[in-house]
Amino acid sequence: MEVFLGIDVGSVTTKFAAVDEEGRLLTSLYRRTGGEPIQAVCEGLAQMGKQLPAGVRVLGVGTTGSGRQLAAAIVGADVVKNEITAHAIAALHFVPDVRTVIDIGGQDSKLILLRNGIVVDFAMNSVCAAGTGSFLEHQAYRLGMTVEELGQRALRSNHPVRIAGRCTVFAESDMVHKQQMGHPMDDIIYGLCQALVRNYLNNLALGKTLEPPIVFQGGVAANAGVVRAFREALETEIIVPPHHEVMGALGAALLAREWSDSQPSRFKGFDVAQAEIQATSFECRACPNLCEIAQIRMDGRIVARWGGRCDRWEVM
Amino acid sequence: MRIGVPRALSFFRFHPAWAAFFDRLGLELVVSPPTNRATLEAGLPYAVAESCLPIKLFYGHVRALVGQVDYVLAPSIRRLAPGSTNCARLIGLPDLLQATMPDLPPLIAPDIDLSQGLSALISLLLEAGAPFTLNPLTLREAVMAARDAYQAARQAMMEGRLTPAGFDRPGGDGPLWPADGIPVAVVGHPYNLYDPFINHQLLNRLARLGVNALTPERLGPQPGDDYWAFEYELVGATRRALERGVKGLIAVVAFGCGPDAVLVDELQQMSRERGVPLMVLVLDEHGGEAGLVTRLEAFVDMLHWRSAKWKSF
Repeated sequence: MEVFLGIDVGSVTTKFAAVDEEGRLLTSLYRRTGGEPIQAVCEGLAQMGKQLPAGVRVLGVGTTGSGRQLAAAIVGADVVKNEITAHAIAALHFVPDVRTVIDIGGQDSKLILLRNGIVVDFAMNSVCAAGTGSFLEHQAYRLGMTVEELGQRALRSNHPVRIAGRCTVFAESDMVHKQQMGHPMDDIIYGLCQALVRNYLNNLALGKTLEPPIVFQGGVAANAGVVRAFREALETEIIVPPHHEVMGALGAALLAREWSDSQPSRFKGFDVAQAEIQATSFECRACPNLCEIAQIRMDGRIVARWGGRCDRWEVM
Repeated sequence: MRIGVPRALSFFRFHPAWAAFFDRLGLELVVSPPTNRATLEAGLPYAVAESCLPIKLFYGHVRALVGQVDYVLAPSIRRLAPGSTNCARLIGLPDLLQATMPDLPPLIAPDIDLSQGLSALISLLLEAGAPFTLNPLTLREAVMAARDAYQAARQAMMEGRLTPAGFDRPGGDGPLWPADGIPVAVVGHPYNLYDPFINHQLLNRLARLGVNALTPERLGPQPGDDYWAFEYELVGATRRALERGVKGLIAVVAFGCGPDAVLVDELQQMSRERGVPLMVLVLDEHGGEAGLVTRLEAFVDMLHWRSAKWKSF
């Protein structure tokens, strides 16, 4: 059997997807990055090796996400693509006439507009991470619930309270205050989901037209409360695709499939986890910028270096 | 006598004029070194918290000159055109400096108001030169040299031989952009476009991605006759870039910049009307550049995609 792999190393979670030559999703994996992206990639890859039938041939590997360079260096990737393109490709795969993609992940959120299967505009949250998955997760933790439970509670709300969505810290103060006022928890939670959606629409959708079909993907799409809030705010159906949480990885796998005409893959194998991988860093003193250069060694050999403002260390 | 020039803010626009002017007066010019991490750290304690990043960097550049020079050049730029104005922080720059830095050398801080025409320009240059010479012939010559140097630099920038980053380098810095790349208007104040520290090497990154970045300096002077004159120059440059058939617009603005909000709004309208995609990059203190790189790559992917040059889509 021949497969293409996609790896999406995000700030909070690391995702894997394997597709066959027709682009069908064979298996996927969603796990925490846990601040240890190297470990997450190695362990996840080994796990993917187990999930796939023995003896599969990997014809191509794509990486995406904020840790895409790191993952590419470790596993030997053929395609390294930004998350916008990867998410757009994946959304098009499931909903070929998609016109709007909403993606909310751990620390960033994206809006992608497509027309006739082509990305024509996009936006990402810039200087603030209010209204992303990390925030919801923090609130769920504070209330002693999982994010999924949070979503189920939000569905039961009839009179949502208004929570300030501009800033995570103030939203929390607002929630605490509403709790102390004695508002039912379901209404507070749904108010929070609405605040997140308001924040998203104010920040990313300003001046843009969100036309259906609208696909909502990323980890936060698991929260039924946020889906409901988007549906009510945009007054249209919101499509949450199956495997919405691994869409970036799926997009990367599909890009690897596109890429692979005849070239042999650079993939180093599922047992890359066996290699001894070391990440070290040092401060470059060549100029007053004092850049922090990170370097990755595999079995003693330097495979990647980055972090500099100039190319000094990146060319090897 | 050594005149210190902070490599910040109006340096990226008016330096050729000041360099020629002080040179004719026989004064030595010391430009602070290119921005680095230490520049920002040196400037932060002197800047009020709400200041934008370019202002904080300006303070840092002044710190690099304190103790090295006899004077520091810190003009107050009030007006480019009649009826226009400028950001209050730029108008008040010399006063803010004096209020926060006790060890500051004397400032050369003329009020620049171009709304009164050439005569006003000449009188402000005469004022700036007054501490060093009262000889009217020398001053006149210096003023003429300043004007010629400014015009020559603008011409060289239009022809792509020079960018503001190379203002104090003999021979300029050559073209930064692949001439056969995808044409994209890259619009922003010159201190945001040409300081590679503030924008994480934006122009180099764009060049490596195969983008022919049409900056306002390359597009030539544009009338700036609205209330926010600097911003309307950029709107004019964008209009010209659209006439030249650019495939995308990138606006580079500093976080918290009031006047740039007006600019972004104008660009959004133009983008919608002409169907040319716009990306707004907001510059702030954070050092992580992953977000910026992702945006740039995605934007360039999108432009390829739109022009159907993408391999299989």
